[in-house]
Amino acid sequence: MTQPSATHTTFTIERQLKAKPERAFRAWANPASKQTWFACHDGWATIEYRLDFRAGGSERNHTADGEGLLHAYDAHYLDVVENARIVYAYEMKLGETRISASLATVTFEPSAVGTRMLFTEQVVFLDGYPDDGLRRQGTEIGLDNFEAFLDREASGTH
Amino acid sequence: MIIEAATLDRMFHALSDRSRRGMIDRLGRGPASVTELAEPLTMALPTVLKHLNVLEGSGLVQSEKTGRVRTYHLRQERLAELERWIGERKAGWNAAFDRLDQFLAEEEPTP
Repeated sequence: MTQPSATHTTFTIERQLKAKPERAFRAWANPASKQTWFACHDGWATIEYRLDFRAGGSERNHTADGEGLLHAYDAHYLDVVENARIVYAYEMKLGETRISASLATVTFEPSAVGTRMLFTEQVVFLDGYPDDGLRRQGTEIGLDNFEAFLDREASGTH
Repeated sequence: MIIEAATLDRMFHALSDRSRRGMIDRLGRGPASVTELAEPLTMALPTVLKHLNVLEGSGLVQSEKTGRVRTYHLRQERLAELERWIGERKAGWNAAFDRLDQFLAEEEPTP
């Protein structure tokens, strides 16, 4: 990595969901539901997922990608208004390296289709785009974690 | 392709100004001289040159001097690097929201 750097940007994603705000909100609030769409990738292994959905609560989604690299998402919920708004802060790590820190705001509004969901992320990307060295280093750490996960699963303590 | 952090900072700084974004837009339509770039702007030529220096320093644009005319053109490949950060993050969320769509559809089929 080169000099420490912090690059800020903001982006918004708008989606029309074919469900009422109550049901769309529940898909974010209910741990089993959220894990289904948020934490499960094809070919990615879940190392740890948990969600304590409330203002002051936290969420963790640690996964290993196809190459065994650890993708670590850790969030803290700051504001929850039922069926209307969620505000949370989260960090992303690749292996042991923190690559970004974000403030995310999700709003739900009734629409003709069902729900207009607006996702806004204010993000600071840290220390440049991850280079191949980091990805390689991360792969090794990821594989260690993945092996630990398999061991825990095999011993039934997961 | 790997982006140096300092390079990325310069690119974001270059794009943080409305006038400079206007020049990028203009150069997106093809190479232009300093005079052509200054034409639609209500600013003094030295200010225009200052902005162009920032853009060139960021690597987003390049200039060549032919005789007395300096021509600027856009380096498309550098803009692509810049978009990669945001693009990758957005793609991740859109994939998750696609799965959210699917989850909602399967949970309760649309009547």
